[in-house]
Amino acid sequence: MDVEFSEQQRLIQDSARSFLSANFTRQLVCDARTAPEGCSPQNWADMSDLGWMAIRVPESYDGIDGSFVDLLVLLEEMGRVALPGPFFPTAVYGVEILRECENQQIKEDIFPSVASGQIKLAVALNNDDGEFGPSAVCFTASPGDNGYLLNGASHYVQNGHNADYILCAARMGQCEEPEKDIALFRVATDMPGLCRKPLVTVNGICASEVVLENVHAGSADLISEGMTLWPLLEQATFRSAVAKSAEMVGAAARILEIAVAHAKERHQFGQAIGSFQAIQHHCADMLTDLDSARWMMYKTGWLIDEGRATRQDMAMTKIWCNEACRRILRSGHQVMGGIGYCEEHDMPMFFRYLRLAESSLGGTDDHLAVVADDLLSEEPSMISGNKKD
Amino acid sequence: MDFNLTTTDEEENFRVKLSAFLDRELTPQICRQHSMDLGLGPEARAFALKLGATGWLGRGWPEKYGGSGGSVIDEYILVQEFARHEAFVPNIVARFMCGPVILRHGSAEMKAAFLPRIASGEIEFSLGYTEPSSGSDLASMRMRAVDDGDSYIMTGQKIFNTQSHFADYHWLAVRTNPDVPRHHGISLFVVDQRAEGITIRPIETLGGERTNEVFYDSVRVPKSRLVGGLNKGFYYMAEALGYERLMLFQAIRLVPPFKRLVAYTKSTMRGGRLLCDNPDVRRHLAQMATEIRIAQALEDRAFALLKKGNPLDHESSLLKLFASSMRQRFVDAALDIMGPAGRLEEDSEGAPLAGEIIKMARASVIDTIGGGTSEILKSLVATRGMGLPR
Repeated sequence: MDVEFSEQQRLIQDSARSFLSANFTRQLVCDARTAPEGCSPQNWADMSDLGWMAIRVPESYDGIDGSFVDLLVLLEEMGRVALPGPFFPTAVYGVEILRECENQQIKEDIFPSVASGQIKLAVALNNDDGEFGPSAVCFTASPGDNGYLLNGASHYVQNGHNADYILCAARMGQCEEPEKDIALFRVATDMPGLCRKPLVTVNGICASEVVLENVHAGSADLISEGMTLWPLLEQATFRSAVAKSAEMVGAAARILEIAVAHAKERHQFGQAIGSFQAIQHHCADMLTDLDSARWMMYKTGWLIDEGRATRQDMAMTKIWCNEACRRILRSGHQVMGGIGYCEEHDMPMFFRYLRLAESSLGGTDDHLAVVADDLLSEEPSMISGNKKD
Repeated sequence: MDFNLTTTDEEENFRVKLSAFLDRELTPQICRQHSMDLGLGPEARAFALKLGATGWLGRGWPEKYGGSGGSVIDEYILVQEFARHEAFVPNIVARFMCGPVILRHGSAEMKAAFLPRIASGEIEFSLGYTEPSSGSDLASMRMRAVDDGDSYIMTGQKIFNTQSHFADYHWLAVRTNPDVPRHHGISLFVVDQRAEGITIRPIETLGGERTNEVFYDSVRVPKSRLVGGLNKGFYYMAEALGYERLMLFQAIRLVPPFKRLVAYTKSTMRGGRLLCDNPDVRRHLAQMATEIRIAQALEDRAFALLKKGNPLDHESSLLKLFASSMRQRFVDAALDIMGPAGRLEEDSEGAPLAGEIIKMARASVIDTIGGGTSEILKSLVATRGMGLPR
């Protein structure tokens, strides 16, 4: 491939590839689908020793403070083995949100424990069955003894069943305008009144419904509130959508490798099936999709590090990775034939992984709506997109 | 990781100056003469010479051959800025398809004879590859060149030689040795397009461009006009086709029509509401914008590779594959948005956007065929890019 990594990024890639390929076999990944922890304590500890949980945690909180592209490099490798478990909600979505917030005390409380692998996070802003936005926030907060009482339900929280803390967005009920009325709380999952129901997704148990009934939150649990909060949450969410795209690209890259290898080895009608144009054209389409998705994903990551990524850049990245990876998955199955339909093959593992990922952090339709909104607003940012990049 | 393609002040300076030049000098008349292949009128010729006089047409070429320094990034800037202005680089076949091959493989005499005149904007070429019986299977071409002392005598027929009616030179592929495996018996020549014995017959196309059949009847071509080595023409052709695939489809060319389409949806009512308030229309627009951006990303990648000094192989085919089908999806979606009005042609009363979308729809048919069909390109990507068996 031709994205040029730095020395540091090559190091991340090499160590991740060797650790993941040695430790995450298909069988283990499949077993993890039915295991609530998603990833064994030993694997989690090893990954933490490698510094992965700390990759985006700021240095002043015992983190590595890697660039966003560093994170993408790691996530692409994780996608190559369809890595299950709480890494993404904890070290990506959770950390990206907390990085944005100014609450030093919360950061001191949470970041070092995330970096050392001691705690796991989940994020509950909106219901995944609704729109994304301040008006669709899933919880409410009302004043209570020494703090607040939280109520409401979020129907789909990634890693909710597995988290030590859930970052919950709530309406304060003080203002009519949703974006001025939002607060973000840290809620420990062992609090009385918090109920979690694990959900069985296409990729196993990796999410749950979270219901809060008069759950107490102290003032120390209030991470942030007010006008500036929603834009920060939105930033972190769109960045996480780009991060999700990196996982998808990793899985898609593996699918293409598997399909091409199969096309060279598998003989029918007396010749390798890869010599048939029908198969070649599937593979060429897959490479076109993969190269474009991968390049777009890293380019957007680079723009994020440069502080120049627009909401539209990030939405377009997720749109394209969703569409491209879906086609790669379909063509991959087609090239593999019947054997790729068997659960003992890698393809079903990637099917499950990608079908879940394409709906995470905004599906294609959600992001298309965002792009359309931005295009049709007064100053479409797309127009300036190419010129200086 | 660095995605900045225009990093140096010098390159950015070049872009700014070129852009100002184009703002000042380009007229709709010149753009039309270039884009429709109808023939270079005096205005387009004068424009090409004016551009040549700035030295910018030769950016990326050595000074001794009329170039003015700079790198492949300057060449990228050149095509991108023209595309952004909805125009084509004048004499684009000479500059970006034949010129680079002459520069790499031509004799010293040939380089001196042609490159400075290409860089000055003086001359244009026409590609002479396809024959009635040799389209995708180019290596099967039959037109013969027979050795006759210090020259070759050429007889046969070419087709789809789009610029032959106004080009100065024919970039002609012919069979020079019929007794070897077919890829090894083809040579490339530079022929005076007006030489005695050449007949040019026009072919009208759906897109409105003119293309040609070109007949050779015992045309005498001096041996000094052989490009590079004898019987190596097939490989040079493949190289030139690589440049062609890279240079012809700049996604940024779609940005101005896209902006006009967006404006159209914001000012056109259908079914009691503005088009831009229709969720289907919004979805179409968002998808188009995303795909234009993706094509730009693939272009960036190709030039980033070139900048690092890596020659392109299947990457230019992959880019052309994507960009050509993307443009077809673009016009399809635009026509869906516009409804019956979108079928009104330029000359009609009330044609929205002056009929540009339906015209683009007609012309886009050839995008996935010319310069290598999508099917040929996919096989090329599969075999050369991924090592699948031939």
